Amino acid sequence: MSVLDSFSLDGETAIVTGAAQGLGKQMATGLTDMGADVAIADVNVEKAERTASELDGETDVIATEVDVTDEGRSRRWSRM
Amino acid sequence: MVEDVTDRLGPIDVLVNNAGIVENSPAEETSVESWRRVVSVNLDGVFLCAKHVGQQMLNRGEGRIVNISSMSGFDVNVPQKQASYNTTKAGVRMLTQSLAVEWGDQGVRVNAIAPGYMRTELVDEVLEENPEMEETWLENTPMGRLGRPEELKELVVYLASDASSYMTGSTVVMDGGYTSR
Repeated sequence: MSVLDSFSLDGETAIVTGAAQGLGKQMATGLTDMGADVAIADVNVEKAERTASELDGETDVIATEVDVTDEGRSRRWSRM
Repeated sequence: MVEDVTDRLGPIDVLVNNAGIVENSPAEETSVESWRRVVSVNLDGVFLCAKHVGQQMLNRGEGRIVNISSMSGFDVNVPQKQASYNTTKAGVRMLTQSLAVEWGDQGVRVNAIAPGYMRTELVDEVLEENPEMEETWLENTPMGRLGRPEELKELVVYLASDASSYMTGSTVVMDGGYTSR
């Protein structure tokens, strides 16, 4: 694998929490630049939707609502 | 979140635990409610997301987690008083190491980034109200400027990709030299 290829995220799926704005949004942008499909996970789902539609393009970028402190929701995640 | 994302985009290869908050107040005046809000988002949040996304990664035998700590997890930056934030960001470093050790032989790598002062929109708003704070920050930053948010992109890609295939448990500082002083 070439050095450049080792940075590729082609076909991979990533989640960035708190990515509707600020540093998280920039990190999500970096991951899409390298080929990843990215979920913008944020407590503010409306802002996450706006950010996702802004970044959606070469790869799939979606918004998903999350309250990272919500244990009940976390338990539901683990059933999958 | 995990179920929703997996249904729509497939199994999760990379988790970036970035969500975090800060509340500034002198320690002796900080309410337990404020303390718990910060601990809840910055530590419980990282733990819960890592736990549940990590479980899926362990089942698949592969995955990379990048936690966002802070230079405040290494050094107490001034002048703002934020004991709860500093404490949680140090906790994120140790959680990163703990998960890296537990999951090291199961294909899941866990690393962290410790950014210094980055000029986000929220920081801009704070500095507009407190211009003297920026002077103190810059005096203490060897590079003499704040970081640009987009300067984090390459490091997160590095830690999220095979480029860092032998790295786990590390917290990489990107702070314009702040903690080197």
